[in-house]
Amino acid sequence: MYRGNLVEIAPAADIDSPDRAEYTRRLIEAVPRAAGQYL
Amino acid sequence: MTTTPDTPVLAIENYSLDYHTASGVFHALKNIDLAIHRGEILGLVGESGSGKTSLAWSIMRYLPKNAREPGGRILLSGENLLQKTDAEIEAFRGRRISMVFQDPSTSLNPTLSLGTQLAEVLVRHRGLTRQQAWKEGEAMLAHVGLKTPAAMMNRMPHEASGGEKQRVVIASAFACNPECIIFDEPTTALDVITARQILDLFVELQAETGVASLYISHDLALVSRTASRVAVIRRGDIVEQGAVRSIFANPQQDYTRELIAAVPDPSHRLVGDALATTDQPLVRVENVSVHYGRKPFLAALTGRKTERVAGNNAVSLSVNPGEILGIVGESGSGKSTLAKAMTGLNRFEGQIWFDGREIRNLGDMDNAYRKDVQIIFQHPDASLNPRQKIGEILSRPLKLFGDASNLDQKVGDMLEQVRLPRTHAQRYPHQLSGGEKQRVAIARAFASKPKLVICDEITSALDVSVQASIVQLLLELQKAVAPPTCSSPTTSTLSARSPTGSP
Repeated sequence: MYRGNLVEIAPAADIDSPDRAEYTRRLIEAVPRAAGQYL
Repeated sequence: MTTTPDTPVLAIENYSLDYHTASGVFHALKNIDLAIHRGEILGLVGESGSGKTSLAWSIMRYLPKNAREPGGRILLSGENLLQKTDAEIEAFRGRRISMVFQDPSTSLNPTLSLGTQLAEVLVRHRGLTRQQAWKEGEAMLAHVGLKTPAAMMNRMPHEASGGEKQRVVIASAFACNPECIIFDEPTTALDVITARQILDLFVELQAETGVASLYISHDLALVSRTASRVAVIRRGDIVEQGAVRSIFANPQQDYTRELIAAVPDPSHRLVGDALATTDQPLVRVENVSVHYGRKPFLAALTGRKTERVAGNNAVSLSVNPGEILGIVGESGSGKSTLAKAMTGLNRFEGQIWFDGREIRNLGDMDNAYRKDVQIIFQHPDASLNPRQKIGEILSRPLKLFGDASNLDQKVGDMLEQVRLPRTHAQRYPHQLSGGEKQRVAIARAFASKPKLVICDEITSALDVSVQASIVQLLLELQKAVAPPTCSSPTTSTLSARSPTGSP
């Protein structure tokens, strides 16, 4: 959801697919991953 | 006192802190030993109540009157802060050591403009004139990435977003080029995208200035991304400390292993990928819009146009029976607005179809609808009545929607279902931890055996380890009672489908 608009619905297992909308990809990118990811 | 290049900027040696309370002495910190050198970021991780913030207050010398320091030293570039007078500490704060708090809304004075607050630091600690300080403040706001620094200086805190306010607070913290800065969960109150930007800013400024930093967080993923060394604190004890890589790759203590294991891994899904398929969704939201701001009476009379803010714009989605639908988005994207519209807490335009019934407005949301559609909020502190005992709170949905006979037995059963002791029925919310309170809120939502449960960021106010247990509990209840759950937190771990919006 972005600024009150809903434009994408996707299976959660497929949420990090490169085909997702640009905003979805930005959200996924920003989420902190597992503790060891940044080592 | 003389210092050498090897002298840590901040050294805490065998430091202990007690709080004297009506129920006895509480040992908040026990023989703490920590050191931070110039250019270093030390991450301090632990759950709520482990003593992280008490340690920050001890360093900043902001202790309450019931605090006692039975032993130890806190040295800033070799000077023992425990031996300083109040006046000396006043001169230290802001100039030689500063702090960035969790919630920028509470760390800024709501009655003063952002510029006034930033300039005050520069006037007081760097001896600039007000005019010089204002000019310098503008330059600093530009430096922390605010696009319109001159306008931002004149804004009041309520006119800035959470991320903008936190940038102003960070600018204030770096204003006097201090030797040490304490960051106390600086991104917890922000959404993921803003948090990421603030974190990047912090890392950039830290590298630029070489300031020694203590980064306090319950989020191990964030700490592993920012800190060079990490200390793990539990019940006032530092149980383990060392280089980030060795702590995360080879934790020596069970508690550290538990903390690491509790961090959600988006690639590990707790539910199956199979989508529920049915011709008849349980709930269908069609073109639902929510607007805030009511037309003033005079404007309505004169036909003058007034600005209305859209919380949701013609949102359409559906949830099948037994399905978990995740809604994700930044702060202010309209997630909670939609949740409130669906539970009768916001007026809306459009239609909601629920279990074959058409809901056009709040008037259509009768007792039967409210029984079947329940909501769990983010902050259990705000959603549980502080004057009622847990037993009273849990018996209310039973009285309203169910069978009010044998209440004590049923309340006890509900508590056991959310893995709380039956005796908690006699307690007040303030006598429970954050995780326990959220379990009560979950029990209350499931009491009426609803068909749809809406979870509005129900774990974001909780520790990582508690979050995992709450999500697990919710999934168990969802299987047992089988309502679909419209949920926004930890979505990729939970949900079978995720709708998102795009610009």
